[in-house]
Amino acid sequence: MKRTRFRAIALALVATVVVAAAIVASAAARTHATTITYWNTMNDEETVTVKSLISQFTSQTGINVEIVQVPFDQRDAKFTTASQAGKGPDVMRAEIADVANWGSKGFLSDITAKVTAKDKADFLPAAFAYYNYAGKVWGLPQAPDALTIFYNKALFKKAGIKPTALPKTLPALNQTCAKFPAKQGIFLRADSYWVQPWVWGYGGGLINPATKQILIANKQSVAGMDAYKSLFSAKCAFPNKDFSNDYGNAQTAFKNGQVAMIVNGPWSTADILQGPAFKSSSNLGVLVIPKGPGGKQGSPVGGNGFVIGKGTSDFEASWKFISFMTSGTAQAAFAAKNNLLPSRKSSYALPAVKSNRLIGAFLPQMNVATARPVLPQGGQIYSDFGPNVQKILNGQATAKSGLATVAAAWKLKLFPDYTIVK
Amino acid sequence: MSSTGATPPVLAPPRKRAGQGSRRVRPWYMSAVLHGSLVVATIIAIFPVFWIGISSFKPRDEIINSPTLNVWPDNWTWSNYSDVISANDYEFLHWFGNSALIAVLTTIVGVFLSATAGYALSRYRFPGYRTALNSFLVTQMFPAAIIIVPIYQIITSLNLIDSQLGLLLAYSTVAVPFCTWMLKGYFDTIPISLEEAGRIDGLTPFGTFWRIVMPLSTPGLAVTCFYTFITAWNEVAFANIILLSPDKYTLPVGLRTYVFQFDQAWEKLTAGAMLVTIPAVLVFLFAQRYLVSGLTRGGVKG
Amino acid sequence: MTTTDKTLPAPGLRGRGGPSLGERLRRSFGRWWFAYAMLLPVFVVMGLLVFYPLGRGIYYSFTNADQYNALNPLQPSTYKWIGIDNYTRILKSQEFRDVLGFTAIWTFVNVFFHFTLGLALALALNRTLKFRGTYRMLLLVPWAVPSFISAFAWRFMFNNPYGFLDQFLIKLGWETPPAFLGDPTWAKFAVITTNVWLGVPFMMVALLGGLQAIDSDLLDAAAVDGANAWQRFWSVTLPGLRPVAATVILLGLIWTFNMFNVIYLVTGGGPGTSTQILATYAYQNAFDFKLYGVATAYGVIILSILLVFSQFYRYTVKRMGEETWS
Repeated sequence: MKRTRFRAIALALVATVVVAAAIVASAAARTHATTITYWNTMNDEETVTVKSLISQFTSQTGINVEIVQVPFDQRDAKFTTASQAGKGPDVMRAEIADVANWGSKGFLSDITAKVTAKDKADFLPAAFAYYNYAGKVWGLPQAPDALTIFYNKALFKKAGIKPTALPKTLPALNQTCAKFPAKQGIFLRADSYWVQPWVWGYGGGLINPATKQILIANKQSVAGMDAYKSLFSAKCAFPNKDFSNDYGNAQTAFKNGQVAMIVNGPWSTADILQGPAFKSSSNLGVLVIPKGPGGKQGSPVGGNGFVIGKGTSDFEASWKFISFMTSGTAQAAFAAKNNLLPSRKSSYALPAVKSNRLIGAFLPQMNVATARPVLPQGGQIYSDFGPNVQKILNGQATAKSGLATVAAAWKLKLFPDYTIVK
Repeated sequence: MSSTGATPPVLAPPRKRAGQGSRRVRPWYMSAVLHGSLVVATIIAIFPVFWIGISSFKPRDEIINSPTLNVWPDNWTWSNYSDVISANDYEFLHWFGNSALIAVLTTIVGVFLSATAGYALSRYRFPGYRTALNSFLVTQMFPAAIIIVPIYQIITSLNLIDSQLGLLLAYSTVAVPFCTWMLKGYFDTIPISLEEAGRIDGLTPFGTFWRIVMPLSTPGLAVTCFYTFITAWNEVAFANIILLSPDKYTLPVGLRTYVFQFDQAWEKLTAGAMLVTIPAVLVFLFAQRYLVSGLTRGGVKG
Repeated sequence: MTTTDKTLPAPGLRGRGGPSLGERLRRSFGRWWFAYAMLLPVFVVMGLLVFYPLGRGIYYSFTNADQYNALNPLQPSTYKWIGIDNYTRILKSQEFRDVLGFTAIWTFVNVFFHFTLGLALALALNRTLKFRGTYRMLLLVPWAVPSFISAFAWRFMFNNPYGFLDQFLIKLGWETPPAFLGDPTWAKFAVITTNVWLGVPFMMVALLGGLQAIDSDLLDAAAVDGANAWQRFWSVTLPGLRPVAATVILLGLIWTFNMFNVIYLVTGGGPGTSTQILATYAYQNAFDFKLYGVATAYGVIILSILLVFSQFYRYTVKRMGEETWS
């Protein structure tokens, strides 16, 4: 009697699981008109713009777009594993470093044939470079960006810095900072991405794929790192002691008018303008990151764009979608509502973009920005770069030894056949 | 931990729970110390959650901009909750349903599997016993972040990717070894004499398990249920990789989408966190009375 | 404590001596069929989802598998066997040893506090007490919140200078409060505090369940014999708790050793590498680069350390007189 009871319970359990799975599976099967899936990695405010653009797109073309929100830091893991399982999305929003990476692994559809020469010429070269890999075009750039210096005009006025006397070299930047009371000049992050403008400004570099060299440990890079460190620990700099939270802290300090300058990109303007010190948006100034002593200047070009998955169910529909999302209409919408820079040269002439003061202010920075090398490993260099920069800024390592460690790690893990330049 | 040798089986009055019964009345200063320390512990336990909760009633810029010691909101708002729940056609309710389904199924499957396995490992010294015990332990030793790739591949090859069944399988693998060890520990504390008495009365092996041992192990089972439910309810790493369609997202996966490239939607994260925590607390409330010993229920002392 | 035979006779036939291997296997199955039957479902699932990937993982650790030459069905697999290269590379690095050191500290300190605080709370809650149910429920709350959100909350509480803790300390008069997440030593304190906060409720509940199994007559008898509270605790309660306590401590040690979330979300292993534990270090050093061979080598190293440790642990507990482990 007991054994049958056991069997009965076991059967009931199996039945429950099966039924539940069936319910769930059938709920997922729907009939649909042409629908493509788009994995979105944007934040809330930008997603609002995306949704309105999607409804425009659908009413124009009749193609439905199912938008799936994916956390930005999970996008690589999710896209990679889904593509390997054959369940990737039709369209993916990719960060620039992702494109070469995913393209090299066969996860993306080749769109070289679809991109006209006119289009190619229209996209900003610094932005478009990332979408070219191994002689093929893998995607379209949506919004390039670069780091720049934001400053509080009112605080500058109070410190007696005239608008015509803004610093044009990195040493001059240190002097400008010194004009402010202690801890109120600039807030520098302890993040390796943010250190790059100083490395480039002093003539250093990261890697050179053409000559197969790792440059991060050479004399100029070390000089740049030292320069960053001296400003980081200067009396006028806000004491940044919390490396996990420093992005948010820099924003908070700047927004509340506690610090006169920060280094950040165009994506942060929406957040900055909500701060008490920038109720009037004209108070926000944009300053191109100055040149180093040798006349070199740099700021890392970043950004996001759209790619089409290899296993897409409808290539044509996906192509139409990414063309639309990078068209002038879309770029004007993103510029107006989210202060994102357009990736097309022609879009800068559009009224919505032209009237955006901040975007206009960003253009000089974009023009002197440095494109990072387009390599599949391009995004992975920061895994070792980051912790070592933290050690340098914390005093746990000197710039020379810290950067040497970085170079060794890159050679070991990413570029075994490159040479390290001392 | 057992009785003192052979005693004739007689019916004895039910045992009292440890902690109850004929004790001296506690002196007032002991009470004060006891309550005092519990209050301190409770404050420490609650405070971060309280902080999350109180922030969920603040508008976004207040969470970020106002000085942190302003704990109480200046502009009390319910809009974070309404925004989270109603976003995207009430997809939050889908997430909730998915989470509930997965958590309940995982608990049922997980507890059942680990109870039977734990019992077998507790009572029987069969050949291969030690290997079995060790192998459960070994499954806990490989870091989850590394084993996630092979597990993902297996689930893909079984074509269970983007399905709740795949997730259920993954969660069972995580929960069952742990729970088996725990339940074995609890089963070990139950005197064998009770089962022997049951056998004498004619019960099958499964019968003694189901009718004698299980009811007496309600505390251990309650702990195991808590653990399995909470693991499934709050798990995010496996769910993020396995679930690809938004209508299958569980609550933690959905909440994770509020973490953006450079910042987080604090107002939504805090509101979402509260909405996720409350059902878990309710499950605790319901199940915590089972933390009472089953030994008081009509035991045969022997 | 008298030891009684804690095992049940095998259900089924009793065999005689002298049979062949096949016969012995059949008899063995006949004797223990019930145990095998109860374990079978678990082992099928485990075999498929754990042992097989584990085996494959161990195999990969001897190869140079990475994202470009392996595990991508869309591209050919060209990874090669490289023997113990991954292992020698990992074990030779000084940083590995530093990380291993902190992992040991992290594990033992965490479990020490989990157990002592959990036991103290369980003992307190095991008495008749006004508001006991309320206390119990509130003390379980840290367990109920999704851990990634708690980690974010603690990360914000430790924020320097805007977080709650530093602001509170400033109010109390400490002008430059510690940078919990920026100072290599304080960061260790911060992550340990967060993990202790997260882990105590579970330990408390597990031990509370274990306390229920202790026969209160024994405690009463000890009281009658004149033992005070401490002596009763030491000679009745603790031994009675041993099966449950030994189990949850071992599991807690293994679990804490591999705890990924807290470190990753609160400090990311920083500043620098001062709060890296083996699990997060392996993730950052290998998994992030999708160097699958290296990642699984780390996994095997972690597994070996824990296996050796658990054997040592069981031996120690056995010497303390716990039959469960024999």
